[in-house]
Amino acid sequence: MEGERKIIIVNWKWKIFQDRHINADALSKEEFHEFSVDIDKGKGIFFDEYAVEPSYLCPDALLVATSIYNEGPQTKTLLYALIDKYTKDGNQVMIFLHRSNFFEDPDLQELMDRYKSRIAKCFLFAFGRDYIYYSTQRSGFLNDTGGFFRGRDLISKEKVLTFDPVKQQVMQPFFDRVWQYYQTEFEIKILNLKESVFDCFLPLMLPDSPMQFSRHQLFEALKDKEGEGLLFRIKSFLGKYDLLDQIKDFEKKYALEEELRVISKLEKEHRESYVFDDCILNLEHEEQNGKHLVKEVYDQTKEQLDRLLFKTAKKNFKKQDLHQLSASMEELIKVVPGEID
Amino acid sequence: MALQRAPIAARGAQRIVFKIPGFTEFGEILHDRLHGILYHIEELTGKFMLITNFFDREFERIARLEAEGVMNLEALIYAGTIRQRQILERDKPLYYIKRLKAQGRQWDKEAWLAKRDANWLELLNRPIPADMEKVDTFDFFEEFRQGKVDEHSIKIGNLRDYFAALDNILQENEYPIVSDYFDIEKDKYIGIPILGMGLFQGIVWIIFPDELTKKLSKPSRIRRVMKLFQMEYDNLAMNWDIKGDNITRESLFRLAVAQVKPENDIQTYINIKKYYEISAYYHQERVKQNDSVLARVREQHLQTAIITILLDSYAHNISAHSLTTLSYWFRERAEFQHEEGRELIKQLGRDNNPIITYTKLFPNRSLARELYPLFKFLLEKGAFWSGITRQTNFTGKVSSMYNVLWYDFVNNPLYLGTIANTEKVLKVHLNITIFEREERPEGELFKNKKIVKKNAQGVPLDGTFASVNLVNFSPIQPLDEKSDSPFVEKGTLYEELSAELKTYRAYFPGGVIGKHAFFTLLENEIRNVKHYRGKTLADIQRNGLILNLSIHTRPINSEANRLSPEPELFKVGVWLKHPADITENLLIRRIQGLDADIVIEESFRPKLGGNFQDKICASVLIMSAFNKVQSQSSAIGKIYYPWIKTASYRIRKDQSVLQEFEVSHRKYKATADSAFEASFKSEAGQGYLKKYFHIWRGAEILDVSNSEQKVEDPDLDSSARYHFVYLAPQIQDKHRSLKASGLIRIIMDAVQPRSRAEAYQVWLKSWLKTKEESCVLDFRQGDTLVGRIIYTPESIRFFNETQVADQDMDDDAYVRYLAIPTRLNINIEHGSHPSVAPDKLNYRSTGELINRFCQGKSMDKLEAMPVADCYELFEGLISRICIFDRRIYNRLYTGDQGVIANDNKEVADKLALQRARLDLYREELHLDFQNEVHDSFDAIRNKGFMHYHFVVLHLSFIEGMQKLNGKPGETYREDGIVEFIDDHILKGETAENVADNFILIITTGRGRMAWWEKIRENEAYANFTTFRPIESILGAVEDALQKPDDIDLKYNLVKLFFGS
Repeated sequence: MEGERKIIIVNWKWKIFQDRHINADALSKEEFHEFSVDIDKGKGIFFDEYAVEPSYLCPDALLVATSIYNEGPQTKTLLYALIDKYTKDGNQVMIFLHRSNFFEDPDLQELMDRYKSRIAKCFLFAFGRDYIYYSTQRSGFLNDTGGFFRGRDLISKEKVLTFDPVKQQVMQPFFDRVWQYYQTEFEIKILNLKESVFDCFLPLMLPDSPMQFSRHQLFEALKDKEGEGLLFRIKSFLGKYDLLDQIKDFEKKYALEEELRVISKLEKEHRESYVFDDCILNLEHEEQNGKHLVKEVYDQTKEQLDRLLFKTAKKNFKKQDLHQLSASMEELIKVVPGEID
Repeated sequence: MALQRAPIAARGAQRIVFKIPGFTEFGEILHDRLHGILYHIEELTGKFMLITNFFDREFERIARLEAEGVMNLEALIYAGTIRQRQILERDKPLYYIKRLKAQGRQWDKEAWLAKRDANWLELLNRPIPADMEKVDTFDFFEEFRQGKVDEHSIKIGNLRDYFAALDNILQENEYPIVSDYFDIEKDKYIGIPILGMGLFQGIVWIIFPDELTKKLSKPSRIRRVMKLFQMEYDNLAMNWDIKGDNITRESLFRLAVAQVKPENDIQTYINIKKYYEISAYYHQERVKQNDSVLARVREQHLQTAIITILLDSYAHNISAHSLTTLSYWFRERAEFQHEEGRELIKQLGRDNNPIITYTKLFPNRSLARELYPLFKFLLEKGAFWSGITRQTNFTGKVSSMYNVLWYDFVNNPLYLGTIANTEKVLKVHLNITIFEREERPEGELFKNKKIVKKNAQGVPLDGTFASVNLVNFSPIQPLDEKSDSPFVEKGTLYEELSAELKTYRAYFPGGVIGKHAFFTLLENEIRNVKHYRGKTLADIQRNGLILNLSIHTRPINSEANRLSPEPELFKVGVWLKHPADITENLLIRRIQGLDADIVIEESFRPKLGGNFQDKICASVLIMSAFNKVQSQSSAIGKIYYPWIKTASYRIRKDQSVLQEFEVSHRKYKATADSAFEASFKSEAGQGYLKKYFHIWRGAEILDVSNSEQKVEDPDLDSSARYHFVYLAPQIQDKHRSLKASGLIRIIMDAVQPRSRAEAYQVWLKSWLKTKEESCVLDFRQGDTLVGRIIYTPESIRFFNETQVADQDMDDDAYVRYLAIPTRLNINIEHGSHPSVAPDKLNYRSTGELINRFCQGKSMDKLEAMPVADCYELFEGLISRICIFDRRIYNRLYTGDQGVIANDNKEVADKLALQRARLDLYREELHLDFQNEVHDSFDAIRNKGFMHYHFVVLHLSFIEGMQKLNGKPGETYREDGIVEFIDDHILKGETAENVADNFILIITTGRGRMAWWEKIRENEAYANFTTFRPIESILGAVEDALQKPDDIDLKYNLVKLFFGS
């Protein structure tokens, strides 16, 4: 793995393609077919490649920029043709899909089902709140408007150049940081969630606390981290936002969408991604890639957490249930690929 | 008194020019006065009596005769009879008593009075027409009037002779009365012609005892008596001008006196011409005083009439048609939404009204998108009403025709789609025709050809702009709450017409007031659907009503020798594009109807109907005020009164030539009937009936001194329609009066600016609070700088995203940038983002930032911004506004409306976010919304209101404020506005010292103007104080919040306050 070429494909609102964004009407049926069959013909038209300044971690990395909007089978075929180009032996590919290009969880699922182990990770990103943007953690390379960040750092006022227009290459350490972060992002997300959850539940787990507790007590405890949208983050971890039918569950969906809006707002404020939609899909993707353990532990953790907070009619639980949940989450963090073993 | 002569031949028809309402009472008073004059001035002692036969000018009596078709209306009247009897019966009837005594009988007063009642009753107000049998009094009067007899005909006569034969009704009844007091055998009479207002007004008969014969034989005395009588008639006539209903009529005196014929012998005899010459000043002043009373009364009646006429428009268009329909549609929907009601509604077949159909089609979408424009429309109608009562329009607003027609007119489908529901028409198409020009053949008065404009791609700009469809509407794509209404469809020529209409910037006086005057003209045309019948109506019901508008530019005075290079007006045509039978009579009726006063002269009742609504609204658009609707003699009125032209278009086989027959009131009046008929002949038949009116074009720079040379009459313009008013050094004394009239962007410089950019450069130097300082505006999207404006007193420049980065990456440039002393960071975010950030200003692609300033692109994609636009955006963002009005504040912050967070964190968070947004507006937009809280007011007062460019205060807030040096509980009254300004705004400064970059705006929703009267009395205060209706301010706020676009919020307000 270490020797593989690292490639990041960013499907975004790239300004370089601002008059050539691919939507359902951008090309004729014949053109879609032509480009899908021979994707190289589209280079410079709707996608481009940028070299990356060599580093120890990424000596020969590549950034692929494209602007394809998810507007039906033809656009998706074209996107797949582009991904096909890079998912070859010897390449390690991460894909970033812009939510505003009309990509959602099911699209991510479809993509991972299709490519299985041929892609390393796949993410949804948007609204300047993800790590890939420079401004969130002053680490990524994208700006907010369809290009590479260039200008003064907002805090330090130092000059920042994430892309060298003369050499036409993405600058380091920005590419490395993005690669590293996203490689372990799920682990970090789950770790952060665990720490927040057990900060709240800790008083119920202490030796001198009662042996039993109620669900109500759990919810009361979670209120401590309301400012961090903790309950909504848990629901996202449990996939509560992904399961409802658009028409049948209209009213429930509306309320849940409200909650998602709160999370988005917090993400922007805290400059941190909280939503687990792409994370869960990637965990399931691990299973498809033969790493059954990750999926098993995730399912086990999800089951325990869901049982405590939502699932069963039972409203009283044992202290031991919380310890069990803690252990499961700990295990999940260990089995999810990342730095913590 | 009656003279007898041989009967004369009947005259032809005689009309009465001057009528005097309450003439009976006039006669009574004049009789009394003339009697008093003879007694007091001529010192006639002993018993004498008058019989006054005046020329009948009684208004109602003449009107009645006219209605009965009587041809000859002239008559004298037995006037003053009641007073005559009272004067006479102050004394005992000596001769009657004598006669009784001779018969040995006692005088029984009651019996005598009862007996005479019958005689007096016969004489009371009895007309003496020219053809009265055996009575020639009228002819005697007529001979004087015609100059056929002179003063020598005024002779003393014997009563004995007069009563020699009692063979007419007058003598039969006069004799018993006269004989009670006079000796018929000995006593005498004399008939003296009376003149008044220069004209012959009747005969005054003096009956007197024989011993006065000598006294009344002197010609000099008779001459003097004639003069005295004439003066008394004149004085009473002038007093009469302001008596009772006469107060509603202009004084006739001046007109009557002008008709004096000095060649008449009697007039010469009393030297009446000379008298009027030497008394000219006196009469002029009296008439002026009377007319001033009339003017005030008339103004009030006019205002009432305007309100009544426009109220009729509301009652008709809005209430009777639209709201009535909507009311039952919504009631049916309410029933439909309940299970029981639903079955009932279904059984009755009433489940297909458009609202129910909408609910069935889009179960997850409320009607909010359709309802809020309706509520906004009604809110603005409120401003329109209060504008009528307020009269004064404080400048106006320049808007693009696209915005007005698309957002405010078409996108109000519930209203527009229901105006014609009575005729079962629920689909309205708005067609727009852009004319390039109109051509009138030499010598042709009425016919002209109009040439349709083509756009750059050669597409003729004539077609459907949009349709409102409440019948067979369907969603083109999935709808959410923010989607456009399914009731509104873009027309086949929407894109082409939009592009053109966006460049048409029209000036609407009073903002919403002018806009709704415009809408009323359109609504009335839609209501004309009621005139269609049969197949045409069936076609309209099936395919929709086509309301066609045409727009082209025209010079204010097309006949002037020198025309302005930029035409001043938009000429707007409106018609229903459905064939109708066009006749000459139809056109004439309309033009004559428009010419008539909106008030019935005699009763001062308003004339109701669509024509008069149109007339008032069209007058507002060009005269900028309601009360100038009858202003025919103004410079503009001389050309445009009655503000609307009527026109017809005959449908011909060859439709490539748009020939119209267009009738202005002025040309119609100057054309003989036969010539008009001949000219129209070829235009009769199936066609369209049109109306044309005018709207001022928004313009750039008015050079006041130059305009006086440029056009023949500088009054043929509206200074408020200009973005800037330029005053050359030699006429800078006009600055104050222009500012007091509500204009703000007045620039004074040695050199006249040639462009908007140059004008801004001069203007901003005086407008900015930080003089001589440079300033930078940074626009940040997320954390990326997407644009920058750097202003210096000498220049302005927009830097695009790449240029900003280049500048920031260049150390020298960055240091220079950091050294700019005044800076504003504007964090913007596209409004489609899923959450509202406390530190980001939203913008939308439909807003002004994108549409107007960034040429339709987001700012990060903008290459360059024109200098003039850059200045305007800079002015809009840098201008400082502070608003104290709870209605506006409550729209932005719900925490002061009883929404209490208590322990509800969600509510508390939302309130915190609202407060954060208010802070954001304050910091990044210089837009300070304040509640009507005294502590907040005091805090800003202490900081100084002069810090702001615009301070907006709700009048009621001022009135609730404790007077600074008043007793406890004593507050400022509306008419104490000057004291309030002194105490709180000026704080010791004088009004004369207030700089040109401070404007105080008073706002109220009511038509109260007492405060303005006080301000207007003092030009120094009027210089910086003005008014905006609360509905306009709320409208500006609401339009922006609906998008949501915070940049629009600021820009809309600044535009509203500047008036352009």
